Amino acid sequence: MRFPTPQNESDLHERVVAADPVASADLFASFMEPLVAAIRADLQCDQDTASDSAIDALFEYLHTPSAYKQSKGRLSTFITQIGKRRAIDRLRTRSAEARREEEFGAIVELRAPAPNEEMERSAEAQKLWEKIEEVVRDERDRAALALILDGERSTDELARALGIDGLAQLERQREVKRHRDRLMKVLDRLGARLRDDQGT
Amino acid sequence: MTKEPSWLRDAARRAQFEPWTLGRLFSSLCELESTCDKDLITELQCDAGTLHWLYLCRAPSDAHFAGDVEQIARRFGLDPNRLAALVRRADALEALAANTADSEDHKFLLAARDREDGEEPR
Repeated sequence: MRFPTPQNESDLHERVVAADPVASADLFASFMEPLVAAIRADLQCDQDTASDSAIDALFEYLHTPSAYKQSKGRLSTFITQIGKRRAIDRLRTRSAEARREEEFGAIVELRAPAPNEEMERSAEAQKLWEKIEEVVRDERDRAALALILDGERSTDELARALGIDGLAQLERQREVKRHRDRLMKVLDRLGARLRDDQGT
Repeated sequence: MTKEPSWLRDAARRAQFEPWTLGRLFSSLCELESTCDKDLITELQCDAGTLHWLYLCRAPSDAHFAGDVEQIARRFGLDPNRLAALVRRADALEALAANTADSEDHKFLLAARDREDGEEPR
């Protein structure tokens, strides 16, 4: 699929500047596919990276359409440049994360705890979990809390634990956030209470 | 423009974070009324794909409200009266929520919204 003709691009830009309410939807309809293809072709990246970066690029342009100067070139060139920049950022972030994980893995292997240290930690964790069970009665809340404490950030995993995975996506996200906030408050209160107990 | 390309859902989700979009306004409405996309689809009498396209539109401006609503409705084959009512309600609830200082008042507003027309307060 190709980008719109220069004339159509220009018309679309004028509609965006004039705050035409459907111009943004038309922009997505005309630009997404050629934009994703251009990013993929130039950077040899995966479809998801290209698609997410194209979405970012279109919203960046829509946020400040005045940043595009028609005298300096085509709108498609301007937006593609933004998209490629976003894709490069994504790829860099991903490789940095992979490097950090690798380094972290190496440190963990070097610092494997002694067997007795591991047992002590396990006993501490067990005691703490018992305290949590005293204040969190609901099995689903406990399951979700266990996931949160384990570092789980996936909305779908938490929704499954909370038994709300049947909800529509947006509602599921909202409900998971609400439950997560509620459970974090419970933990905060428990933490404060334990600190008070230790202080007395 | 009602078919749903693979990227549309992601773009619609992303639109909720842009202050000028209908997506942000509708998601705010859903949050305030504890409803979801399905309720919007029912109210607008459209399909999920159309709702996602709507999310990408600019919210009607106060200065050109009727014209903007008419244009959006015409493009997506919607009833302009239904769309206008939804947008107005979202605007009003957002304004009220912004002025609501504490959560008790907030609950009161939502309870008021739940009453049917002509129904006496409980």
